[in-house]
Amino acid sequence: MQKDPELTKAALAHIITGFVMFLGMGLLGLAMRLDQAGFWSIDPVAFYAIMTLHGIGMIAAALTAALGGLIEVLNGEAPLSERAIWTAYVINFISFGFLLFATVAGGVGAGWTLLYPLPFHPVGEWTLTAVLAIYFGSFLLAVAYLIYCISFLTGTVRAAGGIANALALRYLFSGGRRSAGNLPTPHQLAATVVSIDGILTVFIGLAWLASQFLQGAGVIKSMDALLVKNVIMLFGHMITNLSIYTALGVLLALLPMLTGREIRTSWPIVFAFDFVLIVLFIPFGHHLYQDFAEPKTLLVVGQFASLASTVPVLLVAILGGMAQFYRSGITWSVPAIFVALGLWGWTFGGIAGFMDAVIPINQVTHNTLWVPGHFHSYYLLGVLAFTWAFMYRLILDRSGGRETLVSKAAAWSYGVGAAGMVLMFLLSGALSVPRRFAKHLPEWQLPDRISVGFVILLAVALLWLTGEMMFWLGRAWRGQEKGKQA
Amino acid sequence: MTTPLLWYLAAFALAISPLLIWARANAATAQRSDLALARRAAFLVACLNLALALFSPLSSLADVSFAAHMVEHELFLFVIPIALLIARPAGPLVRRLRWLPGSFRRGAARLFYRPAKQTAAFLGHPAGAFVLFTLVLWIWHAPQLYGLALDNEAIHAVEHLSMLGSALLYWRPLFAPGGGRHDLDTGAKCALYLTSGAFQGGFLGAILALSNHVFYSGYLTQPHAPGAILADQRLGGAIMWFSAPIFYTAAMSLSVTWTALRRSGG
Repeated sequence: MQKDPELTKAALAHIITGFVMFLGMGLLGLAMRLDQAGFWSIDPVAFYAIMTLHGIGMIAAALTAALGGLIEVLNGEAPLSERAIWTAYVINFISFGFLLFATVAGGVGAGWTLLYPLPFHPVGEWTLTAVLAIYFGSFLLAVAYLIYCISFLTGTVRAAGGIANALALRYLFSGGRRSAGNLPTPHQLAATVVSIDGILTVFIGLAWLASQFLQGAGVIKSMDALLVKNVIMLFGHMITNLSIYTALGVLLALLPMLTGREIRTSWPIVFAFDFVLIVLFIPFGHHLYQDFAEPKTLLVVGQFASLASTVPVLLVAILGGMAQFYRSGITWSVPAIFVALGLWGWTFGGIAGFMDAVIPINQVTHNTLWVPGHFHSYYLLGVLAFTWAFMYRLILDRSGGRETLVSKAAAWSYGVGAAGMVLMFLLSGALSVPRRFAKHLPEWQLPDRISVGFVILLAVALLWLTGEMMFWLGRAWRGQEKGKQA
Repeated sequence: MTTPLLWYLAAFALAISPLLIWARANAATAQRSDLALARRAAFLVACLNLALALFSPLSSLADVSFAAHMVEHELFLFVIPIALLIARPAGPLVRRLRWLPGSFRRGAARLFYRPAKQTAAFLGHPAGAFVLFTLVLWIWHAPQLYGLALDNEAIHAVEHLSMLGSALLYWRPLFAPGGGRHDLDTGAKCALYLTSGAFQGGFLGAILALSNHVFYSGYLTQPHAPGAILADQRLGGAIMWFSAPIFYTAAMSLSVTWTALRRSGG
């Protein structure tokens, strides 16, 4: 199969849209850090609206961009429906408009792991319309994601000749001795797993949303709070992890391009992904360690599943990625720098998460800034680092553009800025500074103030890289590589 | 029979008479292809929704309720123009007029049909169509102009005609492209066009749905419970805001299907 140039444009549109959303949400993040550091004062009600938008918007941005990468990675390997992808893009874009207006204009500041009486009894802070808008936006996001997942799954299954082949099940259960036809590539395997789990996750989310709409309409008065919290945490845990594994699929396609070494589908890789397919649903209990009413069995299972789920990531992404780098003769281009930063951040953030998943440690770190420290490492220096690496390479390859020393310095500065920011979060968490507090006590503010410097460094780095990519974007869109039309 | 009922019956007969003429015209050169069936169905949809917008109780309700008025507008901005563009009733209707003298028909075409077609082609550049569509929508929702239209039937008619006209131009690149270089012939162009349209319409709807201020004082003269006018305005805004994704997504999907059907010739 040849690569479809229209699908490449769809991929670019997704990645660029995700990147622009990321920049906007990043500015909101900077505003929150400035407020907590005491450099700027934001009304607490506005702070929570900003926080709500920042959280949902960043997940949406990361997912959109990573999905764009996966579209290009699968382009030419699996039949993808251009119509479905563009329809999903339109829905995705519109959904973000709902989230934006509901928070910025409507003032919804209930966060995203909300429980009754939120968001329907906000003590006059926002209207029912605003709440319905945020839920409707979430519904549209779910529909868009469902379309993406169905498109990818249909494509990989058709390419492999059945779902069992797409998951390499015969190869897995024969210990690597037998396979039916050609094995799927690692990134195709990632796409299949992410799609199957994505479809199931969407239905979990829709079930929760349906209950919220019924509650808003007054059809049901309230639901069991513990059940609702479990469902929200399951959905949230799944959607964030799926964005991570989508980026992993992109990484597994990018690494061979950078190192010149093919990543062959091996038994550990097949096992890792097929294991993740099932086990990803289990660890969400680590979000409920401090809920005394939660059955202890679920908490213990959640802890061990959390620890077990780090094994595939360790094997495939981290060790596998580092093995790709080792003695490959790789040149330190901007994409290579981002990938290296991503592997480091993923390891570092993973260790922080591993620690937080252990119940006695969670007693100290739960709902402190340790938690944002963990997931900001995973995202800024992990999911997003891999995605921006792919984006940068795609734009420069298609435009014939060249990176400069300043580009590389900007990439390293991104790493330093992001690392400094997350280290300050982790330090604050270790000092038991609570998360989701609009105002910080003076004794909490030193790490906040230090982190502002790192965030500004991150912003400057991104400004340079954005300018550079915008310069080459027109030619990349037209596919004018080295003077030739794609 | 009461006078209002007679009104409705007469108006309904008037609204569906083009349908009857068109159906008769098509029966004479009956094409069983999917394309012809789709066009007929679209024309039926257009006529029925036109009747719904202008002659049903919705029209009376729209004079006293902002929310009902927005439902009416949604018909003029989305359902009716898309259906008309798919149906393209002008051809079959004109063919039916074969009994008129040739010189009369040629003169009428020169006076009306060709200039209309050329104007549409001129204004039909997608960027221009989008700007016009946006301007018409926002200008007619300016409180002063909205109030004028509410008080004056002639201005109200101009409002609806301009909305229908701008919507026909906006949807034309998707549903009745001219085959020129400005056609939205790629997914990227369609997506950009539709997200822009959805965003501006949604933005207006969001302002009305989330505002604490009553913009349209014309409704304040109606008998109402305290807070009802604001609630009605918010509902109307929500109708505009929440219906946008449905219409624009359906249009995206429908336009691709319609393009494929046209290319295959049914």
